[in-house]
Amino acid sequence: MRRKFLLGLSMLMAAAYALAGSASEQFSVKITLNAGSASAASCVSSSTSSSSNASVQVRCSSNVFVAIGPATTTRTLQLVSAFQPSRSSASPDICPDSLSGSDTAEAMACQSGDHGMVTMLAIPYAERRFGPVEMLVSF
Amino acid sequence: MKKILALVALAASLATLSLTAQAATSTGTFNVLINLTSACVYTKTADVTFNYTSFQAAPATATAGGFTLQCSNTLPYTLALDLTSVTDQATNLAYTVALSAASGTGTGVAQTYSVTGSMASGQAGTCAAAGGSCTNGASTNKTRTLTITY
Repeated sequence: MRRKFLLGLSMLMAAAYALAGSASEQFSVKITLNAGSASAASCVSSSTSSSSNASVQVRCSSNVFVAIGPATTTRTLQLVSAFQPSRSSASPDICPDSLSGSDTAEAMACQSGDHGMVTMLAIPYAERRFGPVEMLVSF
Repeated sequence: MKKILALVALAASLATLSLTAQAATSTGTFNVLINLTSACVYTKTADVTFNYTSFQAAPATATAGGFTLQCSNTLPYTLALDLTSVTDQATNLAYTVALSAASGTGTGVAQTYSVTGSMASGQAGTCAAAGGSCTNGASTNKTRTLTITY
């Protein structure tokens, strides 16, 4: 009796399993990435400061002209174009590894494969200055 | 002669009565057996579409993808995506997708569902066309799979 019951139960379960179904369907995720144009560039600026130096870095989505300079001209600032590369083995950038030894206020821009166009300006010996240093970023 | 005719008429009426007495009816029944195999019909109405600008400040919301599902009446079913967090191979943009519902019950008519998508802000993306735009048309992982279990 018990054996017949188990047999019937297993056959019922097999029938129920046979009735169940599944289907796999597909759809696409379409992406349009606007890398930026002269009229629609986007830039993000950030500043860092260490014990002696400070810097301003601007990262843009495309190759646009970026100017970084003192917001006021009343103080004399020593400015150095610089770049702190963030290298990627998959996409090596074309920026130099070390600081550029220029004393002008002209910022250096270079293309980094992973990070768009990066422009950076360093302010050496920032610790010798009194008060905040305000920089203006234009693009 | 009249006697003969009367006999013939009598015989004819007797024969008619006999036929009426022999007619009869009987009823029987049989079953109509139906084996219904339940099913669901998937119809895609739109893909999920993102438009993204590198480093954009706000998250991007995709134009929702959509599909309809027409399942047998009262048939319960579940819906699942193969992946919900993806980084697109071509554009290197990370996004998430989600279904508007994870389960349902068939009604016999097409039921509408959507697939929403979101892309975080501040992503650089990868695009070799400087100053232009790129699409993920050649991406190897742009296709998502929806599994319907019923």
